[in-house]
Amino acid sequence: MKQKENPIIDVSNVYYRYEKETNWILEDINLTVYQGEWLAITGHNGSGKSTLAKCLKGLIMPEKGTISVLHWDTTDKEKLWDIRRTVGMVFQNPDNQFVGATVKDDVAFGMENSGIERQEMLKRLETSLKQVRMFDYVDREPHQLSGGQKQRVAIAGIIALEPSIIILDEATSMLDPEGRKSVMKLMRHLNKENNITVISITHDLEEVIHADRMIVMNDGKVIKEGKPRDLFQSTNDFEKVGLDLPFTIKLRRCLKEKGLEISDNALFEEELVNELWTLYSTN
Amino acid sequence: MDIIFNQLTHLYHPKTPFERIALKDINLQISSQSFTSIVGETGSGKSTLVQHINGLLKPSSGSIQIGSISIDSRKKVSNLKELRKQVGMVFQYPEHQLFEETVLKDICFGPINFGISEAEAKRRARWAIKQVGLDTDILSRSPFDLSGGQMRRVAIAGVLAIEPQVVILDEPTAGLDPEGRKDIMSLFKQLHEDRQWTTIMVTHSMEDAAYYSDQMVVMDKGTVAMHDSPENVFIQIEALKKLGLDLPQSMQFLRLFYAKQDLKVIKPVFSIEDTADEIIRALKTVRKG
Repeated sequence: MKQKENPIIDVSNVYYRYEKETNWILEDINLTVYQGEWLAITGHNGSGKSTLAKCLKGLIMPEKGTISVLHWDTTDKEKLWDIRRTVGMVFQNPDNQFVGATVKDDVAFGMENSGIERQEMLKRLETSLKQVRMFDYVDREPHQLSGGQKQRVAIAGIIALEPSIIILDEATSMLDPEGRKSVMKLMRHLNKENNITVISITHDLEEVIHADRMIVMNDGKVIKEGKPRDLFQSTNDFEKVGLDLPFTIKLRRCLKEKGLEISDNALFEEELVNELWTLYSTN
Repeated sequence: MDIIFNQLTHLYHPKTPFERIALKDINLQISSQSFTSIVGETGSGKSTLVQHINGLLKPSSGSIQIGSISIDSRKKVSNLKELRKQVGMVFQYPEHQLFEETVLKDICFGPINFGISEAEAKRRARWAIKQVGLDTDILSRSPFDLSGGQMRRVAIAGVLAIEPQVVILDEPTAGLDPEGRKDIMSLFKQLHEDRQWTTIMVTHSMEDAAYYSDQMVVMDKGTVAMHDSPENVFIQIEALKKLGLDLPQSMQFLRLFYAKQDLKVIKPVFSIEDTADEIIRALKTVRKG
């Protein structure tokens, strides 16, 4: 049983900007992330999503407000390395985060930096690469791998450090459909089986609808927060903030406009299909 | 401008132990003023194929004819500059290729390089920037002070200013948010029609291929597996599945919808509107039947 009530990250009144006297990139952000949940963060390009993610990993510090990760304050220099190890981050471009000469080196790099002893390192190298199904590629060089495979190696490097949280910063947006599916499948597994909290920054609304919870950002602020089902039922202005709607929602609205008497409940394709055929059989 | 591939084969690292066939005996005719999407799994040869159209790659054997220009594996390439003037290429992340101090200079670089006078290049830059939906004020700014979406438009304006007849788009919407994606695709569709381009788009998005193109080329292991209209390509569900390709979401939904009643109907329907009409029609028919 998952413990979705235990806060793991707490963001309180956070403000951030690149330089003094300029506009806020993040403005009064308040947010709690719960252990074991899958939280999707969406919003158009430039809405502040990635900046927020960097704050959560302690890569940048807020100008005002506080962020705590597992009760450690990100401004506490003594805890910074613990925070960075507990929060893993997968970036957008698979080529920019591959640092090793081979798959093995790449996964070992992070562990060496964290001072993990050799015996333990070899053990973790094997388990993490097996988990991402890349153990057969242990001696391969990056140019021999597809984008999806590189991202899975990046994830192996992260899970080898046994993090509590993994942030996906548009980690599948540069992958082909096959690569995207393999990375998402792996992350769902890590979320469910290893109880790793996932924070996914994404434009892909078909991914968002499967999240436990979502937040929508616009101009540096959190403008919506809730379960995808609730938000997509009640909100009509996603397009106004540069976002698309999931396919099912667009279709059910269009059907309604054309006079079909259907509810605003369906979120997944399966649900809409069932509702349509029920409608047909009861009339 | 018709583009004809004639028994074209391309080898990577020929005559070395690393030799690999990237394209195998391609025979393909892309008609003038068509909008053709090239789809296929990663490594199927999509990019290698289009890189022959503007002479970035030379065939290992066979030839390619682009309008009146021919590139033959057996002959030395002579009119590459003329070819690149006719064939514009919008790469993935075109904004990474901006480099000049001002937007004006950046857009003028291509035309001047092709021997156009400075005055004419500037006139084209002003025209091109308006075509991509930006204000002429932006011409004096540094391209690096612009937003991501603006940078991409500036890069596209640079291709426009060369006034090409053939335009190759290599995953033109990669990394954009949904609104940016829609904007850029409608811009290309508009330009395709207004400028009477022959447009060739490499894409992983079955939705974009279905919605924007009138022809599709499906690549598989360096060969052309299908070349037909999106309507005729997407009804070949089993064949596509074997090639590792999905259906557009609209058709995936319809399949699920029909499967619930054990119906095996396959309709090439791509827009939300048409999908809704098809559902309503089906519900009425089944009710009557």
